[in-house]
Amino acid sequence: MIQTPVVTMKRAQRNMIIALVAATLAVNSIILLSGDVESKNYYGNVLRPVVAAVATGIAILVVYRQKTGGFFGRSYAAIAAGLGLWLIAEVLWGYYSIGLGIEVPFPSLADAFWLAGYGPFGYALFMLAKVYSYGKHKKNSTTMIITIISVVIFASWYIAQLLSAADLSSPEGVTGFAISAAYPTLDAIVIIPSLLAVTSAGRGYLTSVPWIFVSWIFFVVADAIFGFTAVTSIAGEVSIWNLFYNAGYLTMAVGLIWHYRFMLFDAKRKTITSSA
Amino acid sequence: MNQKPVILGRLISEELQTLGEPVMKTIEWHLKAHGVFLDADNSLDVRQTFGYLEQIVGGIAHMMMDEIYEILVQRYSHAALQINPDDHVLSRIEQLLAANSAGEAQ
Repeated sequence: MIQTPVVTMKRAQRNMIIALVAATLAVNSIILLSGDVESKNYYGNVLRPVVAAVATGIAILVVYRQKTGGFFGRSYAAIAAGLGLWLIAEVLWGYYSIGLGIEVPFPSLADAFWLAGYGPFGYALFMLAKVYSYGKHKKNSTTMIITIISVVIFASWYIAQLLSAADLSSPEGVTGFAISAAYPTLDAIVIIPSLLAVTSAGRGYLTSVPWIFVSWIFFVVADAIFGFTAVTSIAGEVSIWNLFYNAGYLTMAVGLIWHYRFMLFDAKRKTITSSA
Repeated sequence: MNQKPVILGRLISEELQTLGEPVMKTIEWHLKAHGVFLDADNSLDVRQTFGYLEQIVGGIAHMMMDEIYEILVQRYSHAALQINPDDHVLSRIEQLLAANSAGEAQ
């Protein structure tokens, strides 16, 4: 007998949310409970590549099983590519700070991989947002206008702060400013489909939780905290953005597990024979 | 023979195919769990099928119906001229399918 799908999916969603909260608390507790500032930052730099690797591994499994055909195949292959690039960046950052024991230079090779990751992530998020928010947001909708205005104001303020602190008298200074400004600019572009998808959430028992978009919001919050503290120097020495990056990677991992488990056909699932 | 359900089922299958085969099979599986068989030769209702699709995949159902309507408009452009564009997409699809069935019957 087939269980009511709505009930089954709601239960699965609840379990996934509980698992995500538990995993995020467990990972971030290691950082928060690790004593002095140096230990907190050490564990932050160790755990970020680890959770990025977990998400990337699951993304590779999804691509292996789904292949790259069709709308979802292309979108999830792009997510896997983006995660792969960010994993390389995280490993490089960890290598600088833990392996070499030095302050990570800026700009570094890690920035090249982080910025490259925005390409496939942007492609995937815009593609997926098109279907997740379809029919909910017309061009002149209030949500879209408020979202775009808010994002533009914050990104403009952030870039203005970077500009005021930048040394543009040398080519290196100009390059550094360009790379610094690229992050909020790209975040501002890619957060828009994420916010629209999240505000359209709740429709369809297979698609009601937009995990991938929620994870992207965590990443942008982390970037914003990172940038804000860099510009204003108000956060002290603890890298609190690590908590949000970890939450982002773990939410992405849960979204990928959901897709693997519930969106991709499982041949072992009970077959329904045509009776019409 | 009633052509309407066969055409609708085939169009929905083609739309599902664009999502990728594993996802298509999953959605077909859930539709079957609701008693909707896209390859059935009778009793496929556009409103009921849309209702279940929306219940399963939310906004994707709306996108599919809009695209199916566009395909039908291209195929039956003569009938499309008489359709009110302000009608709901399901109503417009029903009108085009009905016009097609009437044409086939003649």
